[in-house]
Amino acid sequence: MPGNILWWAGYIAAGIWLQKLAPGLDALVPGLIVCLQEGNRQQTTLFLLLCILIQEGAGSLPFGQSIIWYGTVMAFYHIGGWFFMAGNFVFILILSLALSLARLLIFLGMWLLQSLPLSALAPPSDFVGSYILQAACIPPLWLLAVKTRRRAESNAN
Amino acid sequence: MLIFFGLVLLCFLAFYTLDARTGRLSRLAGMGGLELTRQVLSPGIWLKDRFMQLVRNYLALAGTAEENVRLTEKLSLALQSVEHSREEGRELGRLRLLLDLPPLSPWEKTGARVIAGKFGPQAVLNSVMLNKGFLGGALPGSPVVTAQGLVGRVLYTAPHSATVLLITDPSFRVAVVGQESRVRGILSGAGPGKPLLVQYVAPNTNMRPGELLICSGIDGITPRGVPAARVSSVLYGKDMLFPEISSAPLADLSRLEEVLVLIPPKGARADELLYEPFKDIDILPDVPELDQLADEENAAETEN
Repeated sequence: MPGNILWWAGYIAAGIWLQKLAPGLDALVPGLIVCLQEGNRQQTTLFLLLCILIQEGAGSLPFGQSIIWYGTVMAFYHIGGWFFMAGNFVFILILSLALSLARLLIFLGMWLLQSLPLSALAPPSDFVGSYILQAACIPPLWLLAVKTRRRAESNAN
Repeated sequence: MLIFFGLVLLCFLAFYTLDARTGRLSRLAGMGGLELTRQVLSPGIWLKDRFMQLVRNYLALAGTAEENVRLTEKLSLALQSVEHSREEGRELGRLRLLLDLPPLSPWEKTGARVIAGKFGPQAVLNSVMLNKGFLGGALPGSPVVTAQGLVGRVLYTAPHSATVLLITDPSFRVAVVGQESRVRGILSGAGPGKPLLVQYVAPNTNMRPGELLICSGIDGITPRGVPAARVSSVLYGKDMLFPEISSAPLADLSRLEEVLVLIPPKGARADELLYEPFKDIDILPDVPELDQLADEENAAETEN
C-alpha cells in the first residue's frame, strides 16, 4: 500500500514536470488509463480528483473544462473496451488519437462558450502541434507507467 | 454510455455555473492544484538554478579581467546618469512643492521567479506561473513588470504561487499615454506572436512610430509611468473613426525569468501613485569600486 501511494506520488510529480517542459500537454491522462485498467474505483476517484484539481488550478480558464475532458477519457476508454482488449498497445494508440481529436473539439467548444475571439488562438503550428504531441505522448507514457508499475508490484511481493 | 455523457455534461454545467456565480471552485483549485504544482516544481527549479550558477561562475572566470575593465567603464557612466537623474528628481520634488501638487507614494515591489509558462491543457490564455502568491503580496490584479516594462497582471493566486495574464493576451487591457505626444489610448493584446493594439486613440493626433507608451494609471489598477510598449506603426485612414496603431511589448515575454510584482499602498488608487522603478532598489549593489569612483568624481569636481 505505501509502495502504491509512493508510485502514484512519483507519477504525479513526473507528470507535472513533463507538463512544465511541454506546454499544453496533459501528462496525467496515461495515469488515468492505468487506473481504469486496474479497475480500482477508490484509486481512480482519488486520482481523477487530483487531476482535476491540478489542471484546473494551474490552468487559466474558468472551472469546468477538465470535467468534460476526463469524462471523455473515461467514456472513450469504456467504449473502446467493447471492441478491443483494454490492455492492448494498439488500443492505446487508437485511444490516444481519438482523445487528441476530442480534446481539440472540447477546447474549441469551450473557447466559443466563453466568447473568446478565434483570432486570439495561438499560431496554427503551435496550436496543432500541441494536439499532435498529446497523441504522440500517451502511448509511450502509458507503456512506461505499466512497466514501472509491474516492476514496483513484483518488488513489493 | 449516453447516461454517462449526460451526467458528465450536467456535472460540468453545474460546476461551471456555481463557479461563475461564486468563484469558490476556482479558489479551491488554486489553493490545491496551483499550490501543489508549485511545491513539485520548486525544488527542481532551485537545483537547476544552483547548477547553472555553478557552471556560469566557472565559465565566467575565463574572461573576468577583461569584463571587469568594461564593466568599470560602464559603471562610471551609469553612476553619472544616476546622479543626473537624482538631481532632476530633487528638482521635480521642489517644483511639485511650488505647484502645490500632492506627493506621490511609491509602489511596493516584491521579486518573483517564473516557474512555468503555459501549464497543462487548461492553460489556453497567454500566461505564466510565479513562485509568489497572496502570502507574498501577489493579489489578483497586481501589475507585474520587469526592468524593461510591463509584463501583465496577476490573474489567480494561491498561497505561494500565482498565474499572470500576459499583455499579449486578447483579454488584457491597460490605459496608456504616449510619452511625447501625451495622447491617451487603451493598449490591448491580440494573441501570441501578434503586435499589441492601441485602441480608441483620438484622430488627428501626432503619435508616431517609435514613441514609448507608458501606463497612464487612469484604469485604477496599473501605476502611472510604467513603460508598456513602443509604437511600431500608425495608420490613419479617411474612413476610420480611430487610427490603427500597433505596438510591441518592451519586456521580452518569451524569456521571462524574474519579475517584480507591484503592490499599491493600502487605500490608494493607481492614478494617484507614481511608479518609481529605482527609488528603493539599489541598482549598483555590492560594488566596492562605487564609493571609490564617487570619491574620485567628488575630488575632481572640487579641484575644478
